[in-house]
Amino acid sequence: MTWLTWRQYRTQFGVGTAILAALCLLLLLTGLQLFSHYHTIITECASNAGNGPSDQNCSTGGGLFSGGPTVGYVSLVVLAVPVLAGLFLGAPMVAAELEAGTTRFAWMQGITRMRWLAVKAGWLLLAAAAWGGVLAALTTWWAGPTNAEHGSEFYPGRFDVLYLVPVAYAVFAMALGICAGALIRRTVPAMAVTLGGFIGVRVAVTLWLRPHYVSAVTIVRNLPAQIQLTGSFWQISTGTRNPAGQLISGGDGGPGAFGVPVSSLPRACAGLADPSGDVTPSCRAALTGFRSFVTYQPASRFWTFQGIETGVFVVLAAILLTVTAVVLIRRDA
Amino acid sequence: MTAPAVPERHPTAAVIQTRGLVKQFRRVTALSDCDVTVPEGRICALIGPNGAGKTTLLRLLSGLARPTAGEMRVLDGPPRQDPVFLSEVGYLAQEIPLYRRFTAEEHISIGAHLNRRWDPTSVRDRLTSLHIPLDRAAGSLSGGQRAQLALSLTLAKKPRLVLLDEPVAALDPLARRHFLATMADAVAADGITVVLSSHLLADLERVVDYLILLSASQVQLCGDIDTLLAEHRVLVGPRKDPAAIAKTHTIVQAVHTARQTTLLVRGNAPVIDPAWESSEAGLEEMVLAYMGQDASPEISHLTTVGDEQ
Amino acid sequence: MINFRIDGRSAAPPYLQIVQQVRQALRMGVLDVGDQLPTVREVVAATAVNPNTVLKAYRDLEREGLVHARAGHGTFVLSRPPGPPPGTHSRLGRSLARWVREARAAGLDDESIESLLRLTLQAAPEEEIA
Repeated sequence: MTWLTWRQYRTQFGVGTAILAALCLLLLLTGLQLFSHYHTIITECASNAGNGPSDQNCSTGGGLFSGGPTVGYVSLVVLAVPVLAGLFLGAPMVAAELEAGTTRFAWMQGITRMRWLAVKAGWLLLAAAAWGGVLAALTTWWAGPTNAEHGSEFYPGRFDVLYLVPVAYAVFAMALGICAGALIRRTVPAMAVTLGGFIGVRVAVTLWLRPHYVSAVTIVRNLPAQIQLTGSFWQISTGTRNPAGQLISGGDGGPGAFGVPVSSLPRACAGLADPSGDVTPSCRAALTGFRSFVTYQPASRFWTFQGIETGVFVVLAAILLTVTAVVLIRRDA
Repeated sequence: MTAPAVPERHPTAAVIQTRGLVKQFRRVTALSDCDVTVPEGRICALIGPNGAGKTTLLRLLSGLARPTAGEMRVLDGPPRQDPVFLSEVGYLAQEIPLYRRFTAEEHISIGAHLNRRWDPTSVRDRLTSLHIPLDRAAGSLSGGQRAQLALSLTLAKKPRLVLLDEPVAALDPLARRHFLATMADAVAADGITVVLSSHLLADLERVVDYLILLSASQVQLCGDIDTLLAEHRVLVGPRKDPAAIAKTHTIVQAVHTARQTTLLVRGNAPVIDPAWESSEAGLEEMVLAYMGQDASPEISHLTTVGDEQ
Repeated sequence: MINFRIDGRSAAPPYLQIVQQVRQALRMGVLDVGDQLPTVREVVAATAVNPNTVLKAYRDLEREGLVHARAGHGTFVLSRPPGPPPGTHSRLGRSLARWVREARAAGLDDESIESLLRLTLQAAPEEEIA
């Protein structure tokens, strides 16, 4: 069975490896360039410490990451890639054989349908995991400097392309493809469902499930004290409430302080409209009852979240494969 | 090549036995109340018009599909997902499923990897003797060559029972002869049992010795062909109501012309009325009579053809 | 060794065709005592008939005492068919009946027919039975 799987998919495995190799090359070249650039800036900043002009340059890494679209592109590519294996290997696994009628050949050989599914799906899932793993490792390495610079690895878009989760996504996409193929029995519709399903589930999990894996932490401070958070935390929401407990909208326009327009603050603090203005004692007194808050997932939870997210997608994959097995056994071939 | 090596067999051992088998698709009943028995070592023709349920019956027997109701015993038990059962049953679907991009040699390798028993030499010898290339993709072979490859692969498993769905329908006469000879040779060599379906009996007449006749998803006939022929007679006489005959015989088909009545009847009782001239029924005659029958016996089990008077 | 030809259109069933062809071959001298008949597999592979058909034919021939199956070796000719095989009489009878009808139509009466037959038998030299 292993032999048959290899023989059937050697072209796809070859193409997959070639695509992966091309991506590797791209990431390696740009990555190395980034690293050297980063180091130059770091060294420059260190030698120029205290000399005004390059301060701006130092805090943004020379605009290398924040300004350039490269990071965004790479993230997009790496977000999309796990689904490819599910589309081109997973969806046809059962569907293409059903379409060609070859299941009636394969399933009348001396192995059970269960075994056929187990070996074939097993190898494809392994290939998917390797595919996701290589990609994740590369991206993680590549994104090292930008994460160090911005502490943004916990944010959606970064979280999803680093460390463990791309492996789980790839495995899930493969299982989704296999299951869709077994249920729909036609390759092209199964591919469409795989693509749609993958995007849908990923968006749903990212938007509605992931923020709640562990209850978020909320810090509240009385103004004018400011909240200082460090590390790769994930800020979910932030704002300022007036003494009545109402959220002060940040979008009224006009000059602001503490992240809210000065117009919503007590009159005593009107002086803060000038960026160089200080918090006067009268303003400080008037601010009693004004609180700012930040709701966030602390950086220390990064690995917990990676673990939970991986678990969620692996469990989903397991459910899909169980459904596939039941369908293949129950349905007439 | 010494012995006429046909192994001794137990004449009573049934390889296939079904009782009350029913297969229903959403609205359509593909097979209803099907009782058949096929003894070991036979080549059984499964005959019926298109849509009679032949494919459904074969797929049920192979275990690829599951019955809605009824019981089946194929070889040593019900068809099941079990390596022993799968290795003992060979099935060749009508569309001759092969991996289009794989060569014959690669198919032989697949078989070797997926089966406990496997006889690659038999496939190579057979294909070589038929001048079928081993190194060309199956998709580029002719229909007859593909059928031979698929049959050879089916036989290479060394199954005890082979189920073939319309195997000769798409073949030219020569390929048909080669195919049937290959199959009959396997029966002679290994004493296997074969069930092969066709909508035409003429294709298979010389090679089969057992018959299942399906029509409108019901079994009309099942048995040894010689025995069935001995049970059927053609009666020709002046035009009259065949009610008297119907008391002692089952009238399968009645054809009336203005002066004459021709009956095909089943039953071993003697025909006493001297007005009837009795003769043996031919195989084709018998089969056509049953195929012409109306589906539901309660409406009529005698068909009237010709001008009424 | 002989080849069997099975005619699907023949009224005789395939097993009878095999039996008749063996008898014919024995009568014609194509087969001789001690010769081996083709194995069941050989016949089947060449003609695509049912193996049981060949077996049935060989069993019939064995029952007639013409051949003998040696387990593991094959089927061998034991003897030639004694006298004219069954069927010859009826066949000759039919052609004779046809000839008699023809003779009567030509105006011959029974006496003339009998004498003509006697004369013919006396005139024809004794030939070996084919």
